[in-house]
Amino acid sequence: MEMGADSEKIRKNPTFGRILILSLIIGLAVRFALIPLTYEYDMYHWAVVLQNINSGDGLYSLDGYFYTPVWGYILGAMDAVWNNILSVDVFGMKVSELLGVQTMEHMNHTATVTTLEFNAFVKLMLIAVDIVVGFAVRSFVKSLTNDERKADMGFALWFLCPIAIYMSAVQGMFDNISGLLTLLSIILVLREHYLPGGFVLASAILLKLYPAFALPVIIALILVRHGITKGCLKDMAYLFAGGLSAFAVIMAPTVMDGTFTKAFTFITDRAANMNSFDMAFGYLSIAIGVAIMLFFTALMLRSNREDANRDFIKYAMLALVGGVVCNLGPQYPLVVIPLLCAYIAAMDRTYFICWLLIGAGCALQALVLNNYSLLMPLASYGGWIGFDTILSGLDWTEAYIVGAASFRSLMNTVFSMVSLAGLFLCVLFCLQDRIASRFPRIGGALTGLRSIGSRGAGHE
Amino acid sequence: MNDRRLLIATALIIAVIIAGEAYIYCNDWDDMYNVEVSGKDVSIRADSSVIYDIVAIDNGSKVPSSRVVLYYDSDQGEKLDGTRHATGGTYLSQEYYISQLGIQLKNRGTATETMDADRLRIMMESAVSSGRCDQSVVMVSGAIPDTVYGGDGSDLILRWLDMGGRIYWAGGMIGQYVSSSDGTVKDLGSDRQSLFLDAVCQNPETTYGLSEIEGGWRASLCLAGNGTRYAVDPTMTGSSLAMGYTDGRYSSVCLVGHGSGTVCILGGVLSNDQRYDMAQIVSAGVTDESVLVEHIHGSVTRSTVTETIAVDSSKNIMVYTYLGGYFTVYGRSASLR
Repeated sequence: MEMGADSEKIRKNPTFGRILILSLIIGLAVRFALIPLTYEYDMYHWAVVLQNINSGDGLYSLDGYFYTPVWGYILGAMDAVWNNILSVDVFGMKVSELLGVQTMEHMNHTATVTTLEFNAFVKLMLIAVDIVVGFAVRSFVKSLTNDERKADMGFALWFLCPIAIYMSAVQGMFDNISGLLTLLSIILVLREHYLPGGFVLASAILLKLYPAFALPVIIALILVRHGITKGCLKDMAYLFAGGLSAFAVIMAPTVMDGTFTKAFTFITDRAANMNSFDMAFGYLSIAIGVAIMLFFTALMLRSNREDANRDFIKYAMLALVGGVVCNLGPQYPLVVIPLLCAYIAAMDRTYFICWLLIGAGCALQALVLNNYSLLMPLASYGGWIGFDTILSGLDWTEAYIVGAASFRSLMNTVFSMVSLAGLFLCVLFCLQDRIASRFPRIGGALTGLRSIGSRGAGHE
Repeated sequence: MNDRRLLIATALIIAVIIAGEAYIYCNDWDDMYNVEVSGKDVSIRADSSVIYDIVAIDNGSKVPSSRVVLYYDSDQGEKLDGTRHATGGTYLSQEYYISQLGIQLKNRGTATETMDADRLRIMMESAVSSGRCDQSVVMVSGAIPDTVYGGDGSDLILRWLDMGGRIYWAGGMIGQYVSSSDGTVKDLGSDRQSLFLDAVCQNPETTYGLSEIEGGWRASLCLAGNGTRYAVDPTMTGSSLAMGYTDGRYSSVCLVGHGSGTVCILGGVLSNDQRYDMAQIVSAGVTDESVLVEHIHGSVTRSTVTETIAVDSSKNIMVYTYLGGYFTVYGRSASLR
């Protein structure tokens, strides 16, 4: 029946599929074209993780993997494919001509450059994840609107998002998996599958911590749905049983081999290495992020049962924005972008400007951070770029041009401000009515910004 | 997407994660690789696709090491001037460095034992009295314990070295600092390095080697570290073998002869690249007299390959075979004598 209804709709709607196919083709073409560019430092560490796995030392016995285990497990699954099917025997090599990059003052680089084949293998997996995320967004929008065109728009927004493209095809970072698991947990909770929802959310948290910011809003949703009743307790119990079982399954090996605390060195080490200014700025960011999360959790609690699902999507998204604000890096917003794409396509197109600022700002930020180092694999294995070009380029971007600020650091600040503006606009748009009643001018400016996304489509 | 499809998709994604976890922790990694040396034939088996390197080394008059000792004593003082580790990585303390090195050496087939200052003294005393000083001692404490050293040429550690002992040292000026069990460290002056190296030849400045040292050792052993702080200027020593990278004067790795023994200095502050080099050099059994005889590089994919090395087996040949190149996953060494 469902298939029949869909077929009928396809016949009636000539644009069906066009957006989807076009965005898929364009998104894949751009990604494939960018694969040869790589930020060698992250990719080197993925190779070290595989090395440690293959030497039988798990994820943490030997130094090299600094995150909680989930990404390591995904690399383990890839390693199984690598070892049993593929014939790529070299992960990388030390390129003596690039040794100069290792002593740069402000950026992390290594002259151990992974091969083009290795990079492509990791990135193809991440691109596959991008496709899965795109179809998850599409499916979610379809379930919310029953509108194929909007569903395709959701897919296109994700698959053509600049930072999504950059992280999977260039930098090789896994935050799109974080976005996928977070979106999946939101959908599962919306459909009252609390046990798997809790399991997936905990998995997302054990991939990167940011999805934890959605948890209070999920609890608020359950409270709104049931009040403090037996049903509420039951759903909570399912949610936490799912979460705890995921925690047990995922962390068990680290408990058994005594490396449990090593799974959290990424947090503890970074905190330990902060100077007092970084620390103060870090605490301020965390305070703002937590305040945003708590605020939208409170709004969720005030929601009525009829609007609960709709409000939940919005408030969960905004709570996740709070999480990203806590520690803004170019890849981190990917945890919320799938949900943002679904929200724009299904519920409010005026948030398009946020998508644009976050997506473009983060991609440009990542680009200026990585800059000439992206050419290292091409220089090392293809010989298409001279090593001197890379070294002099990196020197140029690192040279102080204003006080102790380099071109890289200045541009990094500019583009992080752009993405931060996108994140804060998400919050401000949600509060626009309250703001406009007190500050009409700001309210008017926000309306102007929102019209960028709704132009030609109308504010829905 | 209906609920059934949603739950199936969820299950599939979780299955990938769990499958990876199971592969990492349930696979029989001990049986993944194997190297066997029979005469001049080296057989390499791998259940994956991996590169291998066979390095044949003539060690001249130096006998292979009988045991590898990692010195670590939490009660003794240490003298370390910073370390270098990756963002998000664990701080490279002496204890962590030693524990990590132990794992890396184990992967390369080199058994180790960790000794505190008292056990080190007992081991060296026993070796000296028996006349068999064929042990290797790794020290990354920056200070030598007062149980074996006090700044005098007749100290136990120097007698042990004279009689054939090997010291692998990183992270400071050798001989300058003496540690005590109360946690204190005494500075004897940097000129005391001459007790070990026969010259004041270690680099006090933070510099880095950017040029490969000729001779083929760096590529043969996939040496990666290029720190040259504390590194040795090989031209100022008598019998020495330099390898790795040079900053024009100092060598990131230098093995200096001391009587019948060898002192190996790895340059730079404690770092992962340096530790990797330490594992390679200790496992390969390189000494100041070593000559690189042959280096075979190849690849094996889920099968066994056999290589024949063309060496004079009457010589003191050590064959070090390792898999994975710069990302070494397995290694074994064997003496052909």
